[in-house]
Amino acid sequence: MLTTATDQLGKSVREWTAGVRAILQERADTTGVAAIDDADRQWSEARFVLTVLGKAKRGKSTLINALLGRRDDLIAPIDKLPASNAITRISSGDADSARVQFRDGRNEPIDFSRIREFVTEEGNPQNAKQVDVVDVRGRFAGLADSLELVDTPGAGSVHEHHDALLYAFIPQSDAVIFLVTARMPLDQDELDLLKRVKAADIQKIFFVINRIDELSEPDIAAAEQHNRTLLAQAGVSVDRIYRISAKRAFQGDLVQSGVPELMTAIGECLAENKGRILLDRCATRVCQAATPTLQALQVEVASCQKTAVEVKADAARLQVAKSDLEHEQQFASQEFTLAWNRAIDEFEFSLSSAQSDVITGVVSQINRTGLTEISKLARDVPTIFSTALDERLNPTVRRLEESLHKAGAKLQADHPAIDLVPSGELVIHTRAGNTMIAGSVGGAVGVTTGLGVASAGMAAAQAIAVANATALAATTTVTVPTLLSSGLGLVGLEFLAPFATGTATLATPAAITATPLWVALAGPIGWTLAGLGVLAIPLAWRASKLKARDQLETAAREQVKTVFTSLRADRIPALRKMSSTIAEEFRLRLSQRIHQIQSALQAAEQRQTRPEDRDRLVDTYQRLQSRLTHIPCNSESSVSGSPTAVTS
Amino acid sequence: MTAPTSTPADLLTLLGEFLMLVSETRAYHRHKEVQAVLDDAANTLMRLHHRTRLASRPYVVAVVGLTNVGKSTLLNALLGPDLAPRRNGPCTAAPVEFKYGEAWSVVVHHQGRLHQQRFECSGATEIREKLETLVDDPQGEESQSIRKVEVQLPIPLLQQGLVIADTPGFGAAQPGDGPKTHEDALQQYLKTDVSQVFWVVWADQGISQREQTSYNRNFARVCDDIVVNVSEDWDLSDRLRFQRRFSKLFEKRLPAFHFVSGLKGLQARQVNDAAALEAAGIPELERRVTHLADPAMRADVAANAVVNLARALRDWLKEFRDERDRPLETWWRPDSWHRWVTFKATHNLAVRITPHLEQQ
Repeated sequence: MLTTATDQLGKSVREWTAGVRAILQERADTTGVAAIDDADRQWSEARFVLTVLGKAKRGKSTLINALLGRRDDLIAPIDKLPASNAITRISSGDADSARVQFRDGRNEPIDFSRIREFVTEEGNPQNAKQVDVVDVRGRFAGLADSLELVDTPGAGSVHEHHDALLYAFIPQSDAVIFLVTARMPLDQDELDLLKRVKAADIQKIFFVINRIDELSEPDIAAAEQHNRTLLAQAGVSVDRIYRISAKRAFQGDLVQSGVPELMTAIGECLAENKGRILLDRCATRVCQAATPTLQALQVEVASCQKTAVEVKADAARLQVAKSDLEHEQQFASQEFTLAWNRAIDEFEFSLSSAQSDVITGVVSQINRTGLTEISKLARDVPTIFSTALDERLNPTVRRLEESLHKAGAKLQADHPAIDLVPSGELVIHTRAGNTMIAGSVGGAVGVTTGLGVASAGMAAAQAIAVANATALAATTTVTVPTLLSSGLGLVGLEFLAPFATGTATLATPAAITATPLWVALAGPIGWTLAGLGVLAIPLAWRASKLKARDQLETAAREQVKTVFTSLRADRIPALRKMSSTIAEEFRLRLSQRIHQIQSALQAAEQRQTRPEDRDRLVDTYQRLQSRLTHIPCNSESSVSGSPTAVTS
Repeated sequence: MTAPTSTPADLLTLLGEFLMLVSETRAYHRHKEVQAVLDDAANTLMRLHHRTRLASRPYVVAVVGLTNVGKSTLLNALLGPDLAPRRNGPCTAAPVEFKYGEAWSVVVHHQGRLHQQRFECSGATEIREKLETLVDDPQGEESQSIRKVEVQLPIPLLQQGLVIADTPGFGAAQPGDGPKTHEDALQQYLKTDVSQVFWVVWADQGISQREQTSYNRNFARVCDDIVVNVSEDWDLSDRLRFQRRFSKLFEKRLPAFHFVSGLKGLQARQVNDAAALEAAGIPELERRVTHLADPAMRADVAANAVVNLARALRDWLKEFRDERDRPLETWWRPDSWHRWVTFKATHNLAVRITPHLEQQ
C-alpha cells in the first residue's frame, strides 16, 4: 500500500532503462551494459529512511507491524510494559532474514522468532547483550522497495542510553512519523523530541495521533486542537495531523484505523521527494553509461555522410591538431592540479585554529552546565559536539569546496576537446583565445562553447551533484553500525567508499564519458564533512555512561581530536589524490575521443557506406538520443536541465 | 506486638539522639562498609524525623503525578462524589486540598495576600463547578495568583484530620521559554506542606525519566506508595512484571505498588457496587489513607520503624564482626554511647531499643 505512486514511476524508469540497455547491447557496448545494470541494482538497493518516533508506549511497534501488514509482533515486539530498547531497521528483501549487529562489530543472523530476545527490555534487560541495531529484511506486503522503516525505543524512558541512541539516529532519517496518543496531550518531552527532529533539518514530519480507539470524537478533536496550538507555539509546523488506531489496523480493521490514509500520504511523500531523487540518480547513471555509445554513433553518422576527399582532409587536420591538443591538455591539467592543491593547503592550514575553536566551544558549554544536570548534559554532549563542529567548520569547508569546484569548472572550460558533430563538422575546442576551428563543409564556422553531448554532460553533472547529496545521506546511514563497531580509525575511509565505487565504473577507459563525474563530486555539497556528525554516535554511547563533568569533558576533547585527526589523516590525502584522478580522467577522455574519431575517419575513407546501412546507423543514433532526452522520472523542470541540449 | 505510645515530641527527641549516635559513630569508623550502613541508617532516621515533625501539623497526603495520568479521577474515586475537576491540558499551578469541614465550602488562598476568598457551596457538584472556574483558566489573572485552594467537605474519610491534596500534573508542554513556575510551585509545596506523597503513574505508560527525575528531586523522601492507575486490564502476572521492571529505579527504599483503576472505582461507587470497587483497588488505598490519618497509628509506625532499624543495625554489625578477620573493636563511639545511655533513662522508647544496640 505504500507502493503505488513510486512503483508507477519506477516501472516507467525500468522500461526506459531497459530500452537504453537494449541499444547498447545492439552496439555491443558491454561496459555500458554493465554500468546500467550496476545503476539499476544501486537504485533498487537505495532506501528512503522513515523513522517512527515517540515517547514510550505511543504504539510505535504496533504501527510498524500494521504498516508491514503483519498479524504477529515478531518483527516489532509489543508488550504492556515499554518494550523496544534497540533500533530495528526494516526493509524489503527477497527472503526473510534478520541480523543482529552488536556493538563490538560482530553480527549474527537470527530467526524472526528470536528478534524479541534482542530488542526488548524483557529479553535483553539494560541491553546487556550489547545490541547495536537489528536489520530485518523480508517480503512485507505493505513495504515499498525503496523504503526502510525504523522502529525506535521510546524517548524519555528511564534508560538513558535509549535517548542518546535515539538522538544520534534522528539525523539519519529522511522523514519521521511522530506518534502521540489521544489521551495524553503533547508534553514537554515530546516537544523536546520534536525540536530535535526539526534541528536535524528533517522536513517531512507525519504528526500522528494514535490510539483514537480510546477516546470519543469530541475528545480527539480537543486533543488535536490542543496539539496544534502547542505545535504552533513551539514553531514546529506540521501540515496535517493524522488520526489513527494502530491497534485496530494491527487487528485487521483497516477501514476504521485511519492507517491507510497515513500509508497513502507516506507513499506520496516517497514519490515526491526522495523517490524522485533516487530515480533521478539512476537515470543520470544510465545516461552516463550510454554517452560513450552515443558519441561513437555520432562520429560514425557524421563521418559516413562525407565524401572521401572530405574525410581525408579531416584526418589530416586532426593529425595536425593532435599535438596541439596534447600540449593544451597538459597545460590545463597542470594548472588545475596547482589550483586544487593550493585550496587544500589553505584548508589544512586553517584546521588547527578550527580545532582549538571547537574544543573551546564544546568545553565552555560543558562547563556552563550546572552540576545537577549532568545526565542531561551526557545526553546533550553529542549534539553540542556536532553543532560546534558544524558551526566552526562549515564556512571553512564551504570555502574549500568552492575553490575545488572552481578549479574543476575551470578545467572543464579550459580542457581541449574535439568532436565530429552530425552535421559533418570537425570541431576542436581549446581554451578561450586559442581556438582552432576546423570546418569541413564549406568552411563553416562551428560553435565551440559546449558541444552537443558535452553540454548535456554538464547538465548531468549538476544532476549528480544533487543526487550525490542524497547518496551521502544514504551512506551515513549504511555506515552507522560499521562505525560503531570498528571504532574511529576507519572513519575517513568509510566515507570515501562511495566515491571509490563511484569511480570504479568510470575509471575504466571505455566508461569515460563526457561528464566529468569528479567535478560533480567535488561540487558544493559538503561531502568533506559528510558523516562527521555521525562520529557523535560512539560519543553518545560513551557519554550516556559518564556521570562526571570532567569525564565528559575529556571524552569530548578526545572526540574533537579524533575528528580532526581523521580529517587530516584520511580525508585530506584522499582529496589530494583526487586531483590526479580527475586530470587523468580528462586526459583519457580526450585521447579516447581522438582515437575514436581517427578510426571512424579511417573506416569511412576505406569503405563507402551503403545507404541502407547509413539509414540504420542514423536510426539507432536517433533512437538512443531520443531515449536519453526523454527521461521518464524527471518532472518538467529537470527535463530542461537534463541532456536535452543534444542538437542534431 | 504493640509499641508503647509516645507523643510526637518524645519521638522527635529520641530520633534526634539516635541520629546523633549514628552520625558521630559514622565519623568514628574507618571501614567503608560500616560507614555506608550507618549513612543509610542516618537517612532513615532523618526521614522519620521529617515526617514526625510534620505530623504535628495537619497530615497532608498529596497525590502527585505526570499530567493526565488520572489523578483527579482517582481522587474522585477515593473521596466519593464527583469533586475534583478533570484537568485536561494546561491548568494553574495551584494545589487543591481536601479537608474535613462541617459545611461544603471552597477557600482560596492567594499569593502574598492575607485575604482569603470563601465560597459556601450546597454540595459536591457546586464545589466542582467552582473549582473548574478557579483552576482551569490558566490565563485568568485571578487564577494566576492562587497559591492553593482549600475544599472543606463533611466526609468520614477525612474526619481524623487528614488532608488529601490534588496537585497539578508536571511535565506538561510549555512551549515558551518562560520560567518553570509550575514545577517550582509544586516543588515548594511538596517541600513545605506535604507529609506523604501518593505517586500516581499510568500503567500503560510505565515510568518515564521525567517522572523518575521528579521523584528523586522532589518527593523521594516522603513517598512510600506508587499508585499504578488505569491498571484494570492488567492481570497479576503483568502487575508483577511491572513491579519488577520498575523496582530497579529504587535503590534502597522500595515503595509499595498499588494497582488501581480510578475510573472503574468511580463507576463502582456511583452504583454502589462493593465488589467492583474492591476490584478497582480503591478500598485498599482507602485503608492505607485511614492508616495514615490516625496520629496514634502514625506514631506507632514511626516507633516501630525505629525499633526495626535498631534491630537491623545490630544484626548487621554482628555479622560484620563475625565474618571479618579484624573485628570491630567497639560498635559505637564511646563518648556518644555514654551520652545515649544517660539519655535513655529519661525515655521509655529509648529503654526499649537500647538492648538492640548493645554490643554483643
